[in-house]
Amino acid sequence: MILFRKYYKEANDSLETRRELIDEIFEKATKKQSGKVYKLAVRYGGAIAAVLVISAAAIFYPQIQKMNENVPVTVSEVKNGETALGGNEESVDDLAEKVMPAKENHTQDKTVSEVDSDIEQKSLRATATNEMKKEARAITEDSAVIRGQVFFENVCDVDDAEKEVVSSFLYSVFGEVDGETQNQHIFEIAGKFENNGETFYLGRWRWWVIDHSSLLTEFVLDEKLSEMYECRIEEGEIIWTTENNLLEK
Amino acid sequence: MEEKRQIVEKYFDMVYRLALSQTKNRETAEDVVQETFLRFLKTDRSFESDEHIKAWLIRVAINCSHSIFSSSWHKKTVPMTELKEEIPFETEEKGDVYYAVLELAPKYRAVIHLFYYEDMSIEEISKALKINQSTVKSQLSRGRKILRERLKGGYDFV
Repeated sequence: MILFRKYYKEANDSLETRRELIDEIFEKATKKQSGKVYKLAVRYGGAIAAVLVISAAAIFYPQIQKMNENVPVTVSEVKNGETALGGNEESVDDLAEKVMPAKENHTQDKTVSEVDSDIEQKSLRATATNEMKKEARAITEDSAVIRGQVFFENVCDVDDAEKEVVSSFLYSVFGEVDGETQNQHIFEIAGKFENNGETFYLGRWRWWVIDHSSLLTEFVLDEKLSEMYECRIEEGEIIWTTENNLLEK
Repeated sequence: MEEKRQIVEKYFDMVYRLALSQTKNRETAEDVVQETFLRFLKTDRSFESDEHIKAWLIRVAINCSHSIFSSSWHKKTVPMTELKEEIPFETEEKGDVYYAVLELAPKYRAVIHLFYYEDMSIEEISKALKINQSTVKSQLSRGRKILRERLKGGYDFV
């Protein structure tokens, strides 16, 4: 009698695994995490800046009061969009600024009474801005996250000629090789699907690394070839957000 | 992170071999491994034990194998003849047994692999795959029957 278990075990044990993949996984995981941190910093950077403006005003207000009312004082305003990481919170802050524009953004000479009223205005503006930020953030987040009910099994085939057109387009955008690592790009188009009346291609982006390919990401690309986003597939459902259009880099 | 790395290293081979048995393609198996462990590194779930982690990894690896890496994506699946050239075994018996399992339907392949390679009990397989024990038993029995017919070597399936 031949033991099936013994042979099946030995056969599996003799399969070589590529242990370098462990490092690649951790590299990817680290990259993804730092991306998150950056997004978080940018997202809340504006709010932190607003808090700093108010705190600075509160700290310096008594000192300003002590000064002669008629003596002009100089107040430097903190520019709102700047964050500690050097990021710029554009959409949310810009929206708030457009709705309630500041008088001036640059250094200027003001009297204490003007400063007084400025501080009051600033405080009101900061409150209003925070409220608007919250709303804008909610709108941005709502419209950014698409959780389409698009199941992987609904992805239809694409003929080879069409795949060729799409992958040629991607090569023309991203190049044959990655500029930094010189790894060759591989674009695979799995098929296409419809979501809210729009047609998207579902694809995979890989690098060819020495003697094997390494998966960078799955992606969705609209049929007009103007938007491309990273996606993930969870329990058969394709999920992506519209936060980061890869074609705009 | 160091603790998670130790876990990844510990279960790396297990996940790869399971993924290969499901996908029958080395590159795809690596993609499954990568996706499985990235999900593991990302999850906030707290695990009660090593067995719990193992069961979770098995379930995720099988789900990944069946979702991302199935159907139209892999129309160009490597034919079995090419795979046999890619993965040669020292002895004929090992190759026969291994490829006979790979030719089974995926649902039979998973339980056969977990039962015979991972030495998991029916209860453990049932928990890991989240299917009834009776389903595991019937799939195991059906899988064995097909293997007996294909292998024709008087194999003992204990």
